[in-house]
Amino acid sequence: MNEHEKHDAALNAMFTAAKAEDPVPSGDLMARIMADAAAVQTQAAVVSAPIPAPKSILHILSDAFGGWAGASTLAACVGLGLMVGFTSPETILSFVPGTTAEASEDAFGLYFDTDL
Amino acid sequence: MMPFDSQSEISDDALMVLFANGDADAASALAHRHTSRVLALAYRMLGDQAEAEDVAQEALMRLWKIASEWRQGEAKVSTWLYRVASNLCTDRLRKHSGKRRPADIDSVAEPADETPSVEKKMIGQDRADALQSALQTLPERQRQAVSLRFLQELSNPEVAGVMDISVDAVESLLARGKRGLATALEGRKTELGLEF
Repeated sequence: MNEHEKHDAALNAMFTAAKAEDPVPSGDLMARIMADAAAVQTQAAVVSAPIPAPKSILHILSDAFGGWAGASTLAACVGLGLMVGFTSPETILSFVPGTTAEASEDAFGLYFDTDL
Repeated sequence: MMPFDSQSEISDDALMVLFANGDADAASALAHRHTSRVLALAYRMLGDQAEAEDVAQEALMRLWKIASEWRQGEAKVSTWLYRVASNLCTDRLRKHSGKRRPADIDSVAEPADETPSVEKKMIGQDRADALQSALQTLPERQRQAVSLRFLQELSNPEVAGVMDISVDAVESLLARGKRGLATALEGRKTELGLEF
């Protein structure tokens, strides 16, 4: 064995001994690393969550009436009421105490200036 | 979700994707696979267990943060971590420069004499301690190259990749590093049972 080979053999023995004594990650270090990982994953989930778009006035109004379904129902009822009121008011006025169909027709005609 | 462990055959690249998708088991598998090697390199570079742990934690933290942008097949996770850990060690060494000098191997306390029954184990421990002290006498780049090549067992091209230098430059650093180690250990070769 020449001088160079002796040096290499000696150093190899030292490297082997050093590798056998490599530091082992402590439980505390692993816990810190896993806590970091969890924090990064949580932050990423928050960032990637969809942000709701700002609501328009129409949306706010429809929400006030119970959403689109509620607002549609309300609009349909109003339309139906107006239609009944214009086409055959006697069916409505006959339910009002102290009125007759004729008197009501006159009053309705005077008020709305119609020729019923 | 099935749990992963360090023996899992799932590639690092796949684990990075799983991690980015929020899989905690992927984080555990990556940490168990790489922390000990990163810690060992940092310890060889810094010679201080607590500082080495801080570097290992920071290197892994940077891995977690880059996971969502990780490009599969472009770099090995291990090489990437070694590079990050090496840079973190270099930063620390530069901050410490002027505050402390590399250890002089002759100034390292001799281990206490123990009973013959533990002699073999003590020789191994003595050699490991002596090498660690000898490493601290090397210039930073030689220490890094020697640690990566002979203790982390990377190939010369892998060391070149981590250090961002040519393979020729790695070979030069290794040759000088080995000569430096031999010189540092010269005075203790008999005690350590070495012949050179």
